[in-house]
Amino acid sequence: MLFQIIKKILLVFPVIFLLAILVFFLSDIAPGDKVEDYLDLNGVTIRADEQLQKQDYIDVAKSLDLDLPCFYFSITPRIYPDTLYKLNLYPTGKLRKTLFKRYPAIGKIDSLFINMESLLGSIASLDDSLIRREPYPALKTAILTLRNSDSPEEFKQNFDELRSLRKSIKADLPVKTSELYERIISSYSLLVSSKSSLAGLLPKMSFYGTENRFHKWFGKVLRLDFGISIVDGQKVFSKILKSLKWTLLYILIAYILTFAVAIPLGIYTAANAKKNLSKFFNIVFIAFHSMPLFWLATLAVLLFTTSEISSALNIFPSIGIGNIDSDMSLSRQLSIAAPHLILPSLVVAIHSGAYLGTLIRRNMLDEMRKKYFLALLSRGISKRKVIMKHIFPNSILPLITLLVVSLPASLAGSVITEVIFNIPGMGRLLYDSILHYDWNIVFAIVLLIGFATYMAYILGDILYRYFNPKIRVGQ
Amino acid sequence: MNKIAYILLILFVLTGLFADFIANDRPVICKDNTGYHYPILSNNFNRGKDCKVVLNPIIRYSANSIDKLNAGAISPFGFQKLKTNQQRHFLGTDHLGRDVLAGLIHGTKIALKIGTFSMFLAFVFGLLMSLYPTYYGDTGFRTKISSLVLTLLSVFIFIYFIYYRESIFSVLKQNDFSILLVVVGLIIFLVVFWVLLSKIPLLRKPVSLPLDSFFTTIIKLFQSLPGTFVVLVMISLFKKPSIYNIIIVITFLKWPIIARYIRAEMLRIKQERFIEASKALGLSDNIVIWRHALPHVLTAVIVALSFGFAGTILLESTLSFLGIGLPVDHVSWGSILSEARADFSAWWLAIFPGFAIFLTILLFNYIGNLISKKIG
Repeated sequence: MLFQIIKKILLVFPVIFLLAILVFFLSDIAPGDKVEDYLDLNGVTIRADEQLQKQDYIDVAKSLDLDLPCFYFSITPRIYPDTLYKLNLYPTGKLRKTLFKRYPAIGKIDSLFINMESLLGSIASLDDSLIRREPYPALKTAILTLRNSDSPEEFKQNFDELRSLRKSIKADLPVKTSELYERIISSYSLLVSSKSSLAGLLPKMSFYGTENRFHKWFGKVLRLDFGISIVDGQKVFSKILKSLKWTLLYILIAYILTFAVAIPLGIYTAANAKKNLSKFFNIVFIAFHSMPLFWLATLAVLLFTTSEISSALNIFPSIGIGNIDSDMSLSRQLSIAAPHLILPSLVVAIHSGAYLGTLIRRNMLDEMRKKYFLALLSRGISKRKVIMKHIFPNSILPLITLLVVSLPASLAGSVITEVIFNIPGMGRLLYDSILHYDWNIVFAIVLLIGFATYMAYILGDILYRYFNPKIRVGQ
Repeated sequence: MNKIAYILLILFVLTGLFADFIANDRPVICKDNTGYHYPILSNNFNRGKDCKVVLNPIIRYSANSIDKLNAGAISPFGFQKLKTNQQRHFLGTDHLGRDVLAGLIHGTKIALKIGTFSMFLAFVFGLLMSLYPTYYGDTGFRTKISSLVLTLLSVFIFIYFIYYRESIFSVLKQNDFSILLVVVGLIIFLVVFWVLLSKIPLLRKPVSLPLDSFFTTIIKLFQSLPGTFVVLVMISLFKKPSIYNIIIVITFLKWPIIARYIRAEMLRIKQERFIEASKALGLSDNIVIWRHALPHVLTAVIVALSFGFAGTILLESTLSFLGIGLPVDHVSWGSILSEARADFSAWWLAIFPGFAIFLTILLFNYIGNLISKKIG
């Protein structure tokens, strides 16, 4: 038994590594531009000088390790250049990558974009009075929209628009600008007609060593450094810790209440299965379990915290957790929040208690159909004693793993309760982060919950082995 | 009790299928001097036309049609500014002035759509992931190491082609015969590779693959995922909200349940005499699985599908309650209920959609229990 447990605990390391790889690649495909988010956070407004703004972008991208390859190695077609990941440094990087997939000629794409930049530069260097005159604003917006296109199709469409400007502007442009304009047009048509050989499709493997994004990110994660939140710039881990306090508090109350509701009722309904009262409880169990949690919670808020339906039932304080400053002492914070947390805990307890109650009842009834129950009864032991000492422990045994494992899941799964009751806990944090595309927080929570779930599995397994006499005695 | 359940089930399906005909702001049939028209069928029907209404739908509002006169959440029993009594909002309106009953009917359609599609996909996927592994067990599937290597290589090539499809297609498009060349080249390469591999005596040794434990581990892994949490994170990874994203995510989460039911049933059927008999007759494994075992598995799967449907509706309504996943213009049960949060005085926005979800979940759980009792 000890050997198996040690084996499972040692398995934690590969599990964490695989989980980290999964989360890393998910965070890579998550929508939005990370660098832009950081720029917004730092309050960098649009600078007049294009060059400075570009430098800002490159600086932030470098600080995020975006100039490094993604993973330890990569398998790409031969036509892919080794340094494709360097494109992440530029605001136009994503577009250039998608263009490259369609037209596999990176040099031509680069020259097209360089020409576009220098055309913008040459427009910017003109006199103020000249810039406002007609061909220039139209040209500038055409190039800017071209640079912001999302897909090759959109790029083509925007490019046709730029090309259609040709007749209207040709005469007015100075020689240098019109030359640049012509160069853009020709480099695009070169790009579209570019050809590459079939041999370029063969796979090529390149190794990057430890100088890669995943390695650096994973090293930080192991030190519990998940980066900063893009909403307020706080450290992700401290934000999670702050919200974890409230979730833990009310989930613990809810768990205790769940047991207090489910165990006695489960035992009662199983022991007196034929009585009308236990049939009634059965129906109540099924009803509360079939009620979606968010409906139950909304109804509870409607009934007990507002006087819309009846003012006599308005017995709980309003939603939220009261006026709490972060510099108050912990005991003071808890004493303010405690009355607010009663109703959410009750709601969760009723909902999951109904489920647990049915499980206990069903397991006990199954157990009571076994022959040892009849044997014990026929020996003259009272039914009460048999049920409490033999049936109940046996029937709750399969539930141990379920209960332990559901704890980490309920930490993040309490989104609904926390959103409805306005508790600033983990679920609420997750929900807000998803709405704000705050991926650092989302994926930190995913990692932590995944890790906690695995640890809970091991714990549940150990507990199950410890409490199960078949395994304990059998060894 | 059973009769009520069946009637409710039929009602649910019919309401879902004909939602647009039951609640619509366009008349079903109208008549003008050119003849009869069916404006309900066309989205761009012009009300200004001189068209005399012959038949109206039962509820004269679409889920999205805004009644400006009755905006601001009017109670079902409150005073409503109406032209005729038939235009009454029987279950009240929401803050924008949309009819709650029409919203509920439209929500039935969405629930039915998401439930059916995701359960179908989960069924297909669960079947693939559990039927063969369970039939062969841990020792039943024996193969040579060389063919195993070949399979892995083909899988790698397949993934490579899928991942770099855009670049590969853009190169292939440049030349007329290049596709043919690549396909023929690949086939020749694989055949030569296979011939070479089978020359090595070490790789000709047959091994048995522990298919069953491998796929059972995967199923267990997926089942241990915390549901609401995974759905929320996955949905947020999609760039645009759409009903199909929800279907994909729910399928991803729900297929293990179906797979487990199929596995349990397959384990039982594997031991039956008729399987043994058909094996003894020399039928191939494929025919035994698909012709003889599958029909017995399917009856049990209906139970899993019914329970799964209930879970699907719960997940979908939870998502739309949180305002994640569905496009803004889709009215569903959860999205109506979420409006009650903004203003608790509008109790009808909380009670009716919640009751619809509750009843549907109860219904499918009940039917699942009923079928499982009937099967025995």
